[in-house]
Amino acid sequence: MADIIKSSDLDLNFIKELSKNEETKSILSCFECGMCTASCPVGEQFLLNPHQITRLASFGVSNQILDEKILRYCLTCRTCQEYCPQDVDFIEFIRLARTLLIKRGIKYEETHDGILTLISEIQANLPNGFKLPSEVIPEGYQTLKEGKTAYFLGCLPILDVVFDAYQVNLLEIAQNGIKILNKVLEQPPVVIENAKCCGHDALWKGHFDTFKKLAEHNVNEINRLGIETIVTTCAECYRTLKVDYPKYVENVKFNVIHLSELIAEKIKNDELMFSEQYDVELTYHDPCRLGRHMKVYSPPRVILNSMEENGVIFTEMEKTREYSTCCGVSCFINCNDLSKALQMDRLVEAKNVADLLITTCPKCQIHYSCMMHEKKEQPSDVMKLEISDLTNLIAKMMGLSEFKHEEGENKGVKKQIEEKKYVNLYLYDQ
Amino acid sequence: MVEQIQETYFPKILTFLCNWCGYAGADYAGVSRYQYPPSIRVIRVMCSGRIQPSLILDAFNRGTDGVMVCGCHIGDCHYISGNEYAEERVKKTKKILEMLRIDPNRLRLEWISASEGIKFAEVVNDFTNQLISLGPLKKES
Repeated sequence: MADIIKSSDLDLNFIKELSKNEETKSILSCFECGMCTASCPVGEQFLLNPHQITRLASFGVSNQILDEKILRYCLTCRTCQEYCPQDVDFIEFIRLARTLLIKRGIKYEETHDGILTLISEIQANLPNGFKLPSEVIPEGYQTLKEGKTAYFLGCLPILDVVFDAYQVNLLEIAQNGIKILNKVLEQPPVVIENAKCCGHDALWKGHFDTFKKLAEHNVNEINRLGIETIVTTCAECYRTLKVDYPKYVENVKFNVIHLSELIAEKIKNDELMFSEQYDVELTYHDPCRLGRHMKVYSPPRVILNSMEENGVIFTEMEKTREYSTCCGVSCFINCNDLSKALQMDRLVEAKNVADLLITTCPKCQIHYSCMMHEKKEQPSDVMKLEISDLTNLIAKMMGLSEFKHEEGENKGVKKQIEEKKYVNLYLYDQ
Repeated sequence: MVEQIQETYFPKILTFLCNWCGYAGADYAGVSRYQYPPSIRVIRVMCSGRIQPSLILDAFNRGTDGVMVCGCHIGDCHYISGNEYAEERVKKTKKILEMLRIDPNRLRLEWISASEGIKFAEVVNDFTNQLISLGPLKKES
């Protein structure tokens, strides 16, 4: 940080841009206490600390802040805001700054060679949405083309192909989601045939135009089918559809609920009982989008606690709810040794209390599985941890699907090494 | 030769050629004066295993009508197993393209050795004809 700020550095347009929005305007109230820097999981990575960035921004020194090296490290996990006495919306500011950065034509390096950005860009430019693979809809289950309640898959099928080397099996989440909704709802759910990706990553990377195209397409498509309620199983889709769509797109008339909210309500009303027996010790990881962003803390816990009679022992980790740590990567732009350290810490923490880590965000699952995959050649106790989505667990407990939890060892990866079949999709992957 | 070249649309094919087989094969086709349409744009890479999905997707994002990856025959790779990686990656990329509603036939993987100049010309002819029948990759904007 430069010691002296010259008057020529001041950018009045930047302050105007910040003041347009109520949330970003809040950074003007920062009094530089430094709580954000102290609480930030990647604080040491920043060339400038969060409170320094906020300070410079409130002075309007845009050319020091709008720098790829400074903005890319923020995980947008919102931990800083939990501690901030002034309620400064730092992540909203980071989002705006990234948008301005992209507008200036500066692009940052991304992990996986930017394939996920390309996928969303291609989708935004082409008229039609995803073509879902036929195996998404499980045999013996039905989906409707029009109706009142829809299941929003998001990019689960695409992520399933891109990350299949990590054995995350994300398509299983989509299948189980359809199975559960078939049982729980009065009618089978609608699976929107022409939906695109929700645009979460594009929004938080600063590709605002891409996000807007995707969002407008999805909203039109949802309105055309006359859908009133949307159920998601993904924390990021949930946040984007519920908070960001009404903010940036017109004509948003639908409700959005997370599957865990739906199931928790059914359990509270005694409409749903889990039938299967499953002896396991498990713990729950709060994804930042569902937890700190949306404050959905209790529904997943209600579900997990209600499984007690069926043999499931639910233990909280040390850092939980508001203070849960991030999975280390956000929007696939900042993966480095510190992200890996964060992931490893979390896995060790989970292994200390349980054998199974449950989360509700497919991307958390991808990132933790990636960490496990990297350490596959140094087997340790942590490697025996199994990671799965809450949707899969609910489906298992309702007797709808087989759970791929195998006692003791991470058999999928091990089998691949034995057969030497593992071929990575990326050149620069370790 | 392509029989019916439409005036309005002539496909652009981005072609990744491996240094040891594909590029030499294309060179041989040129030296031997085998005729093929001027639809290809060549990028030479050291090995077909270097081609990652994002390069292919980037090409489609920028409006290329087709992408072709040429490498050595299986077992002949200069770097032992690079072409096996390429095969796996192209297979996965085709899956992604299908989900994005881009015809997976727009992406082609061919094994062409240094002596197969005539095969190279045939492949380019065939692919160009195929892309003409498929039409341009439509973009909304």
